[in-house]
Amino acid sequence: MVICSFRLKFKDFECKFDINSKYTIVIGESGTGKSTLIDTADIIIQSKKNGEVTEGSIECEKECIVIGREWRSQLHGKKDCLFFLDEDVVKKERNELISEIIKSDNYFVIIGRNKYTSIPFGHKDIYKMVRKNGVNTLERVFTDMEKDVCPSTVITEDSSSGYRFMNVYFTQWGVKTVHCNGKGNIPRYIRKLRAQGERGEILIIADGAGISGTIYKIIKAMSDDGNSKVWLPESFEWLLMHTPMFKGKYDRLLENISYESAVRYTNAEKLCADIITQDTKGTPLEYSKNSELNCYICSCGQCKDRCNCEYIVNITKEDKLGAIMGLYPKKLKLKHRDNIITKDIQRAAVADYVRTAIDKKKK
Amino acid sequence: MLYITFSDPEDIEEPMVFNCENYFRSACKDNWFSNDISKQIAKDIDNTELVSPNLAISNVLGPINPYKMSSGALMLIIMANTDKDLLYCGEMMGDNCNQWLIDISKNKDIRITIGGNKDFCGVTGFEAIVTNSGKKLDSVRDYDKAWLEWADTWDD
Repeated sequence: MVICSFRLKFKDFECKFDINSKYTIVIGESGTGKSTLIDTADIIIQSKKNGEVTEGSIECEKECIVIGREWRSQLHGKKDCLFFLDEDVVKKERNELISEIIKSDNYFVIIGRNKYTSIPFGHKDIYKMVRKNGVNTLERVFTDMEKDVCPSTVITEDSSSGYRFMNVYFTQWGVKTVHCNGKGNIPRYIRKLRAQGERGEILIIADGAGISGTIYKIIKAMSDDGNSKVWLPESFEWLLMHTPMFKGKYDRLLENISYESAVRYTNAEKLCADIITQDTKGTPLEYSKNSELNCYICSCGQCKDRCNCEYIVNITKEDKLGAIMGLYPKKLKLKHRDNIITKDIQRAAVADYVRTAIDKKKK
Repeated sequence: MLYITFSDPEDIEEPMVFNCENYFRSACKDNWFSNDISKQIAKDIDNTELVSPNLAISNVLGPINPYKMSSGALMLIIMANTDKDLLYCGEMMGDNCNQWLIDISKNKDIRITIGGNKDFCGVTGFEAIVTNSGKKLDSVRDYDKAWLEWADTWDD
């Protein structure tokens, strides 16, 4: 489900793309048409606003607005609009503008190579402009490629439930797990591990939703290190919501996670955390950032009489852990694509696991 | 020599070349459009032929005003042609400008800020000084390490 489609025509320049989340960050080389998009959109919008004839056209379900130096009045009172921001419009007041953008209930196409670490965009919100068959469009910067990884150390971004889960999961394979007190510290921890003598592969696990410009330094640190990879599920709660324990309850939500989180929340991480925390309260699957995660990481037995869960009855700890990770149990073979593991692979693997569990039950 | 200041532009008091079109309009001279280096930059970065002070032929847009070339191309043309000691916002240039940036800085001092990701991978003859630390960088690998040191200070 896309939030809206955008199509612009101005003389020989044509640009079309879909808006999939609150933030669309466009980076990339010079001369690819980023600023042309903004300039031509502005001409068309201003001409129409002024009641002038224009041969240029914009097709979009949302009201489109190009942010200028009078950004305060432009944003004031606006909702559900699509705003375009070029990087060279606001310098001195950029921090104030970004604060307003974060608070705002609109969608933003932001053209710029700044790190924008205060904007909670995900790695999947980063695009480059490309020209295909005479039409400019947006293409994700972090694309997919399957590859096996075999880490000897895993770094998670913080010490909350995600770390506790990963620690239990990776310990069974003899893989050490450490946390680094915030995603911004990941590069420092890679260097620290190397200084401590770690020579094997390092796998970084961080929340893809809301990773912001930190992704650039993680990628640079990995490139500098030469033997590390990153896996960016939307969030740990997003992983949990895919598990068989929830019997497909969140399938529809997860299918449209970008749309749902953009419309209802700032990002997928917060959306998933709030929903799973609320839904599991008072149940054996009770989850919070600081919970012990017992039902998720222990073999069935303690809770089966209480939780009425057809899939997890008699499932071992190892199988549960594998299901949550979206992998075939007892096989440490993570897949990644250009260093990014995609949710599609995750989901496919979980679905396969559920089918296997049902087949076992039938037999 | 290339002088790099790692900083977000909004944190720097010194006025800088930020909106390239604005500065270009205020500063350009006719001879900026006729020399080989400007023409090569326009061709290489924007696939545009620089014809005269009032005309450039873009491969995509057809005839355009040269002010409407990309920020990266405009910034390089300013750097290549001006004798003024200016501070440039490096974010306005994509990575395809980096070889030009290094080449221009071989003949004159160029000062830029870097406030985000900038990748000099594949650039030859890299040489720069980081003004934050005074450290001399002799390779792209040195730059990556200096960039990562700066990235450690981000509030993220």
